[in-house]
Amino acid sequence: MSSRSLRRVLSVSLVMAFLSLGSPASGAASTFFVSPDASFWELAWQWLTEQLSTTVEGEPAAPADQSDAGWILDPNG
Amino acid sequence: MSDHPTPSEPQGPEDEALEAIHAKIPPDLRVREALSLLESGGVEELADAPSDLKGIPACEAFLEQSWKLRGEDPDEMVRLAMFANLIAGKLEPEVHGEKKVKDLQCRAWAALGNAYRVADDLDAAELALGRAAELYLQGSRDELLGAHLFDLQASLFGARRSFAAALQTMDVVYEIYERCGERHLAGRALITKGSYSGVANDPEGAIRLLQRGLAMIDAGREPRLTLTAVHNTAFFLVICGRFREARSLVWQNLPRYEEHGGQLDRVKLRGLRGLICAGLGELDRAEEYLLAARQGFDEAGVRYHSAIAGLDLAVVWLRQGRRAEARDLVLDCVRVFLDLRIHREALAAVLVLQRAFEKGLEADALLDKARDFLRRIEQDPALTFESYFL
Repeated sequence: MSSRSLRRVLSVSLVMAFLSLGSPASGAASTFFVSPDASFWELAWQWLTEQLSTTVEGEPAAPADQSDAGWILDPNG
Repeated sequence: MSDHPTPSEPQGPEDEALEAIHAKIPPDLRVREALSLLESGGVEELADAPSDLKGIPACEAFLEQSWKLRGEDPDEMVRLAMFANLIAGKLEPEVHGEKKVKDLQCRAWAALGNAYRVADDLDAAELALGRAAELYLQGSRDELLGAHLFDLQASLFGARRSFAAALQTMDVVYEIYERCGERHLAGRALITKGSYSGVANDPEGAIRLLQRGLAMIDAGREPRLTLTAVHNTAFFLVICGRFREARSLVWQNLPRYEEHGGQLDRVKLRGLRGLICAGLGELDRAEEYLLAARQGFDEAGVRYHSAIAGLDLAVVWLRQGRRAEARDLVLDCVRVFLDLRIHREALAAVLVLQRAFEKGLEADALLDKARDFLRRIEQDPALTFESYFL
């Protein structure tokens, strides 16, 4: 299944469940890791790809060379 | 000759003896040897290596060498990651184990996705990271590998200006590394989170997170990571108006840029020093640094950043009373923004700026406001022209 098709099957409640995984202090994320299994990672990637799809459709494309905001460095390059 | 390592041709006795020797070398050392060949002689040297250095050792060597070039040479970073993918795609699951092969293919696609992001091809990055995610689910589903994928995904969110998603993703990454006892990687996650917190309009919170992250990492394990935390701390000090502190921090760490920074890192250093000088009223020096940064961005092909730097420079020129030069520079930058089809709201600000400068109006305050707007809208794409200017 491609990442694009994964987006189509994501439910709003699932998105909200993942959006509620907030700061490390809340420890909310830890409830998902008690028994990591297939469904968690599938859901996690669905959530991630849904985040990518929430950028506004129909807007002029963001310039491809916006590699960061301002002058910061990214640890991943 | 093929551009990537291939199975060797039929061998003579000397080759067989060499192969026998190599067969006794531990896997990690084979990777070191493959990397050494790649560093010294490039792809061609590795292509002529004994067969036991091809396959997984060669793939690992390409991945490591590609990673080293982040902040230095985005195009070469992509090329080497592509070689890694070519090799990983040819590995035989019956020989190496299916899950092991899938994990390595996942890492290779993730590396390629990250390299595409660094090279500013965000659409290709998204596709590659999506492929990596599919392979992850087919592999061992190792938690640390999953965290690594999330980490790279967060960087892509950041590049897309989806800072809320980037921060939430880094929260998950941090939690995984903490739970697995990976203190250095947890600190690294805080540094990334701090960096995106700052550009999401919380520079003081960013500085705190960066300091926390710095205290956790093993500086010798990833020297550029320390540089990243230091540089970004200095940048956010500038945003907070703490220019002298920013300068002191940069001066103390100049050798770190030389030793561990890549080409683009050093370009950003020039820009940062320019902003510091401008903040301290040292306008001549600010001009020198910002001109040098703009040139560096032009040479790297990063036009949007070059244009943003141009606006910073125009502000300096206006403060120096060089109105005509500032006007020409602003209009030049505006043309770049229009060519790049920037965000609609930012376009409105740019057009207003263009009109003001074309008419020769006293537009200093407008330039300051437009520059601030363009910076803020990178952080908050929901910001509107009407709400900010009117």
